[in-house]
Amino acid sequence: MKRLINLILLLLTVTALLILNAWLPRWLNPYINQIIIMAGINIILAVSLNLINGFTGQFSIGHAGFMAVGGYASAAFTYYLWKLHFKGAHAPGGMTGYAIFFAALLIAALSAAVMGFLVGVPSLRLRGDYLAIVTLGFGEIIVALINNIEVVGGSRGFTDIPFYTNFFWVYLVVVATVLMTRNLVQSAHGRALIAVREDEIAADAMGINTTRYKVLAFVIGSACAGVAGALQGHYNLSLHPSAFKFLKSVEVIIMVVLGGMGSITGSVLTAIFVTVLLELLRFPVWVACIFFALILATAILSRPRVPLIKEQLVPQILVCVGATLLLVFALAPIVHSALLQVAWFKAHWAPIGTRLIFVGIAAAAVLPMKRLDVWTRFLFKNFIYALVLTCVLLFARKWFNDNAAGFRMIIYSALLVILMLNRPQGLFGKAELSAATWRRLFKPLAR
Amino acid sequence: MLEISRLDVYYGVIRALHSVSLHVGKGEIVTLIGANGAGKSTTLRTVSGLLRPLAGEILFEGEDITDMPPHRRVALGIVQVPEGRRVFPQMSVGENLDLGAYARKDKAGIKQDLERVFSLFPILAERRKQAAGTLSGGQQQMLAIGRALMARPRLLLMDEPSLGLAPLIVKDIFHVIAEIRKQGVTVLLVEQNAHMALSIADRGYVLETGRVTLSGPAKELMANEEVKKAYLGG
Ligand SMILES: Nc1ncnc2c1ncn2[C@@H]1O[C@H](COP(=O)(O)OP(=O)(O)OP(=O)(O)O)[C@@H](O)[C@H]1O
Ligand SMILES: [Mg+2]
Repeated sequence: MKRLINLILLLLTVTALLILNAWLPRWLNPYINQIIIMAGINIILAVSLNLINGFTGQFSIGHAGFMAVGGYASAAFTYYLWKLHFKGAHAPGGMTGYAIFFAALLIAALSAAVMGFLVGVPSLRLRGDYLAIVTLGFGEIIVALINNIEVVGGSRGFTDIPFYTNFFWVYLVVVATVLMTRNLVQSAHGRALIAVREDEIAADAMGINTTRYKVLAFVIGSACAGVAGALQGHYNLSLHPSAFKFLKSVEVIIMVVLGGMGSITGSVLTAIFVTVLLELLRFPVWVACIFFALILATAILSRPRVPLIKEQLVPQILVCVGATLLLVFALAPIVHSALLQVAWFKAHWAPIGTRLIFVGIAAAAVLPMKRLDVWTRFLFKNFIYALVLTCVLLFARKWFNDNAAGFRMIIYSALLVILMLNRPQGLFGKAELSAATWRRLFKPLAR
Repeated sequence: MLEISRLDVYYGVIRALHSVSLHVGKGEIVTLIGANGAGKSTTLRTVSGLLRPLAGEILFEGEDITDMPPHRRVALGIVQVPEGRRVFPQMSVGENLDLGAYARKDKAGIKQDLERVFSLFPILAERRKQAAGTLSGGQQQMLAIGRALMARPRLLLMDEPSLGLAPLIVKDIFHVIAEIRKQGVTVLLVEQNAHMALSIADRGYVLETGRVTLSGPAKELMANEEVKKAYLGG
C-alpha cells in the first residue's frame, strides 16, 4: 500500500516537473529561468553539505572539489560519447539525450562518491579537524590535477559540453536530495548520525560504528555534490577548474551556516535566498529594500528575551505601526518587480496587482504584530543601525560606481554579518519548517 | 568473565598503563581506585575499545577481544558509562535511551528494559521529553546509566559515577548500582570516592601511576592501613 502511494507520488512529481519544465521558459524571461536553475543547484549543494557538516558534525571544506570531480567525469562522458560515437553537429537529444544524461548523472554521483570514500576513510577515522585539512588539500589537488589534464581542456577549461540540464533534471535531483537526506536523518541511521555530532565518544560507547556513519554521510554528501557539478557543467556548457576553488566551497558553507547546521529547510531556503540575493544586489535600487526586509525577517525569527514593559505600551505600539509601514514599503516593490517578470501577471494584473500586494503584505505584517515584543526589539536593536548602514552603502555606491561587482560583494558580506549577529545559530537553527514552527511564530505573546 | 593481562597503554609517548592485569568474575562488582591520573579511566577505555593497548590482551568470556572495535564489544555486552556522563545534550531523554538500545533488534526486550530503567530512575520517566542537556548533573548521571542499561549490558563499565554530585545523590546512585548487580549485571566500577566504592564492591584493585599495587576483597582493602591513609582519609 505504502509502496503504491509512494509510486503515485513519484509519478505526480515527475509529471509536475515535466509540465513546469515545458512551461517555465514561456512564463518567465531567460534571466529568471537561469536564476531558478542556479538556485536548484545551490540547494543540492547546501543540503548535501548540511548532511556532512550539520547533521554529522564533521567539517568538510572541499565540497567544490567533489563537484568538480562529478562535473568533469560526466562532461567527459557526454562529450566523448557525442564526438566519438554519435558524431553529429549536435549532441543527441530527445529520449536518447535523456538516457545519456541520466547515465552521466550516475557517473557523476559514482565518481564523486568513490573520491569521497578515498578521502573520507583515512581522515574520518580520526577525530577532530583532520577532515577539514584533508578536504581543503583535496580540493586544491583536484583543481591542480584538472589544470593538467588535456583531454578535459586543462587550464583553458572544458568547453563545448552538450546542453542537457534543464528545470526537470535540476529539480528532480533537488527533490531526490532533499527526500533522501530527510529520510536518512529521520531513520535510525539518522539518530546515529546526530549522536556522532552530539558526542562522538558517547556514540562510540553506545555501540555506534562512528567511522562507518561518518563515511556514509560523507560519501552521500560528496555524491550529491558531484551530481550538482554535472548539472552545472551541462547547463553552462563549459567547466573551468578555477570555478571549483576553495571559494566555491566557502560559498556553500555560508549557505549551510546561514540556514542552520542541521536544518534541511534552512539549507533549501538560504540556498534560494543567497542565489536570488546575489542577483538582486546587481540592482542598486533594491539594496535598501533588501536590507529592511532582511533585518525584519531575522528580527521576527529571533526568540524574544525581553518581555514587554506595560508602562511603555503606547510608544511601543507606535513603534510597531511604524515598523509595519516600513516593512510594507520595503517589501512591496520587491514582490512587485518579481511578479512583473511573469509575463502573464504583467499583462493582466499589473495595475490592480500593485495595490493588492501592498494590502497583502500589510496583512501579513500585522499577523505577527501579536508578538509586539519582537517588533519592539527589532526596532531598538536593528532599525537605526540598518538605516545608517543603508545610507552609507548607497552613498558609497556612488564612489564605487565603476567597480560594481566588488561593491556587490561588500554589501553581501555586510548582510551576512548582520544576519549572523542576529542569528548565530542560523536562520532555522536545527528546526524544520513544520506546522509547529508556524504556530510558534504566530503564537500570541504569552505571560 | 573479564580477564585482562599485562596491558600496556600509551598516549603518544606517555605510558599510562604498565603491565596491568586484573579479572572480573561473573556477577561481581569490582572497583578500581586510585589518585588522579593513576590510569583508571585509561583501563576502562581500553576494555571498551576506545583505546588500543600496545601490548597485553583482553579476554571476555574466553574470547580474545583485544583488537575488536568498540561497537562490536557493545554487541557482546560490554557497555561503558563514560566519564563525565556525556549524554547527547540536544536530544530528549527518551531519544537518549533509545540510542542506548541502538545495537539491539529485539523490540519486546527493549520495551521491557525501558520499563526497568524507569523503575530504577522514575525521574527519567517524568522528564522523558526534556532535552538531556537541561537535566541536572545527577539526573544526567542517571540518564547515562539508564542509557547504558538499555544496551542490556552483561559487563557494565562505570567511570566515576559520583563525580560532582551531592552526597545524597551519590548514595542513590550507589544504591542503584547494587540493584543493577542484583539483576545479574557484572560491574567494573572506577571511583575516586573509595569509601563508597569499596562498601558496595566485592573486590578492589588499587592503581598507582599506571600499575596495580594492591588488590583483594573489598573488606580487606578497607581495613588496609595504606589504603586507609591514602584513599579513605586516614
Ligand atoms: N588523551 C590523553 N593524551 C595524553 N595523555 C593522557 C590522555 N588521557 C590521559 N592521559 C594521561 O594518562 C594518565 C592516566 O589518565 P587517566 O585518565 O586514566 O587517569 P584517571 O585515573 O582516570 O584519573 P582521574 O581520576 O583524574 O580521572 C594520566 O597521566 C593522564 O595525564
Ligand atoms: Mg578518570
